[in-house]
This record gives sequence, structure tokens and C-alpha cells, in this order.
Amino acid sequence: MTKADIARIVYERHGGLSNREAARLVEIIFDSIKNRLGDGEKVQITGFGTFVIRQKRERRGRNPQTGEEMLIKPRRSVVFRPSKLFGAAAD
Amino acid sequence: MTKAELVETVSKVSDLTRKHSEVIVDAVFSSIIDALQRGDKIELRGFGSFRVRRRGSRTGRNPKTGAGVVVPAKKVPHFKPGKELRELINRR
Repeated sequence: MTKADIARIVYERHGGLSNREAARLVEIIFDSIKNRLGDGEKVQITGFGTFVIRQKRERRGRNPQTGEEMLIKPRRSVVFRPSKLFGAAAD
Repeated sequence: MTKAELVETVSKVSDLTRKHSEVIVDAVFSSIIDALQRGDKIELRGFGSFRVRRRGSRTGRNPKTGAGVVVPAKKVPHFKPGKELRELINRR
């Protein structure tokens, strides 16, 4: 499933939007989440889950292709914690 | 950010009421849950992907009594951030 499929579902569920407008709004929703995460904020969607930023420490890793040891720089990553509802639906 | 703020954003950029905007936001997230429940994966360009991961059974412990308890295998939703999102949160 892609954003186009989600836009189609939004179009059907709402009923009063053009296809184009549905696609535009879906794009805006994911862009807003992305930008807030970019600012280091967490994003909490009730009934779905929470996206949080995690700080990862510097560590030693290995290039899986060459086996060469290297230093992996500290970086930030996004972790998604599903809500109870979502977790139960997936199981 | 919360879901209410997301609804507000949609309402602002669309001239739709908050109620209509909420229908849209809810449709987006329930469509993702429905797709994963069907066993589909979701790929959102620039954002990331959702899929179901299998987690094997393990032996946990009752923190009160210390007794070993088997935690059964289960499936959990997993999100993998896309390249654009990874770069955005790591820009200096």
C-alpha cells in the first residue's frame, strides 16, 4: 500500500473531496509529522502510536561486505511505539 | 504534536471544519492499521514503511514473584524510517 492508496481511502471515506485534494491532504499529514520529528519533537497519534526521537551513541561496527571495522558516529533515529489498539490488531 | 494538532493543521490548509478534518486524519491512520492487519506492508515515500514483524516466544519473569513465565510469540507493527526522514532528523 502506498500514499496513493491511502488517498483513495480518504477520498471514499470523506466523500466531499476531489481525488487531488485527498492526495494533497495525505501528503500534508505525513509532511507535518516529518517536520515535527525533524524539530526533535515527539508525535503522538491516539489509537495509532507515538513516534519518538532516540539518540544513538557512537559505537564500533563492521562493514558487512568487507568485514572492515569502523566507527559509527552518534546519530538520531525515529522509533515508533504502537498503541495498544494497533499492537492488538497486528497480532 | 498530538492528533488534535494534526487535525488543526488539516483544517487550516483545507477550509474544512475540524470535524471533517478529523474524518480525514482518522481515515489515514485506520487505513494503515487495516492494511497491516491484512498482512500488507505500507510504503510511504519520503517518510518510511510499516510492516508486521514476528517476535518469537521468550521466557520472561514475573517481577513480583520471580517465577519464570513463557511469553508467547506474537506479531508487532514495525516502522522503518525512510531516507528523507533519517536525513532530516540528523541534519546539523
